[in-house]
Amino acid sequence: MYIRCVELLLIMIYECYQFYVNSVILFRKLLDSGIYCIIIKIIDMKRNILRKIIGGISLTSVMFVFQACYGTPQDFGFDLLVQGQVKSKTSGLPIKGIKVSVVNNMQYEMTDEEGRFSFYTERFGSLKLRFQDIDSTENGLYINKDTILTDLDRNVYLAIDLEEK
Amino acid sequence: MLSSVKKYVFRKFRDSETKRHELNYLFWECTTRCNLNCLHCGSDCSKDSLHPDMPAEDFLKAIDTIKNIPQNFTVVFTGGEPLLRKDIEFCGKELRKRGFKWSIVSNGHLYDKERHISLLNAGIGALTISLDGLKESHNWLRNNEKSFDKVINAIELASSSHRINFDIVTCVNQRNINELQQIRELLISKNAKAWRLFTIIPIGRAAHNSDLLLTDNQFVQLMDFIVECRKSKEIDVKFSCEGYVGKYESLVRDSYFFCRAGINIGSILIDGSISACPNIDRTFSQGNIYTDNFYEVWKDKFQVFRNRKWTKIGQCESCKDFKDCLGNGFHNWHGGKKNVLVCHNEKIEKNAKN
Repeated sequence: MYIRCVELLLIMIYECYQFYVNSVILFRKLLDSGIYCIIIKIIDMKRNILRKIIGGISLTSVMFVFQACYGTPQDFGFDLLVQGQVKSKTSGLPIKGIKVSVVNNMQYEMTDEEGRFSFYTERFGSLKLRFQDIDSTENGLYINKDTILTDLDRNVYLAIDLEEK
Repeated sequence: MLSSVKKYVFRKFRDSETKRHELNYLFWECTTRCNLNCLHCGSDCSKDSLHPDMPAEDFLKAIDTIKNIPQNFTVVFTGGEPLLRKDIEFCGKELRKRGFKWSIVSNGHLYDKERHISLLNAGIGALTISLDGLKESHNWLRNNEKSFDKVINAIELASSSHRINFDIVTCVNQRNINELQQIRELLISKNAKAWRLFTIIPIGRAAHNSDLLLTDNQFVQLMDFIVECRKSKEIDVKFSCEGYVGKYESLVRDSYFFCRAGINIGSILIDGSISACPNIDRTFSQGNIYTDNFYEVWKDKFQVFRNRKWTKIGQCESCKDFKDCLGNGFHNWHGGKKNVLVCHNEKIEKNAKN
């Protein structure tokens, strides 16, 4: 009887150990497969929904877009990055000193030694960019060019060729 | 009844946000140099600061420790006067590359057309400019006779851009309290959309100038002015989140008072200290970017900000509003921290008794 009890106890300990080992293995597999991340995301989503409901009940949805007392308002991020390179159509070489401007807007930037430009600008339905040679003969003489961009859902890269005068 | 329920739910919301402790808003005190010498300066900034500007690389290295960019995360450049730095645009572009938004608090003195364009190009998204009165009272407080004209120019530039979400802040004092209506009209004429009103707390240079501080009666006058302005939609007027204002809570702001310093708001100060809002007593610093991992400090420390029971001392100990106020704005705890420096609600209640 005594031996039988010890035997059962050992079996139970062994089973518990097996269960623990299997759980760890399963947990690791979940981690590896990304399912764990998905579960955590679902839990986090639920928490977020609950948070928004509580915020909504207290009529404080504005609390999610707060402003520090000595800080600025929040940026709602309505812009896009426009970047690219301007080259000579004839030689294929980059052109420095081209003024790249947003039409009907005061924003502009000059191309660098590599003919490159990069700036953020307001996101509209469409965007008209103007490429102007404003430095006379200093970096060659080129004909101005306008480009209209319409697909502004994401950042834009432009390769622009300018014809020589 | 409805108000009590709303307050109760809000307290629960505030507790949950405190527990969550998500970093949404990071101040970078990028310089303590300043081109003005304002009478009310809380940080005693000067043209020749004792501290050199923090190198951009050091700041970027610190924020590169942030894992999983939180929702609506933004970096706010503050000072001193941030526009004294020539590399603000570089820093801004580097932040955007990392997926962070950024903005600037400025006195507007250097905000001209060229700087406006270069900041836009670098991806600025929000801006706060100070205007402290009509010409005479503004220039008096700012200690500079050209300041008003330059600020107006800055406001015109900022409001010409739909891209920038910007507001005007005004520190209300003895000299401008009676011209608030005219300032409001001026701002509307300049197409400004938002205006935040502050009072001045007696720290830094302001501690020694009684002209800067409002009487209890004037403070209530300010509250009533904001309540009246908020009935109109021409410009969004609000009281800053500097303190708890009792019966005016739902009338002068979009939401109830909630000091998020150290709960959602962090800062990297000029010497690398890691803290909450820059105007908070520097002894509350939680670490230093030159010796600690910034994001680990944010996650693991800040207990003094997240559990404010310790502020239940001094006059707050027996206050019936403590559960809503939690010791007022954190910047009101200085020196020995044995009592709150300013109690906004006390001003209102004292005035009601008189």
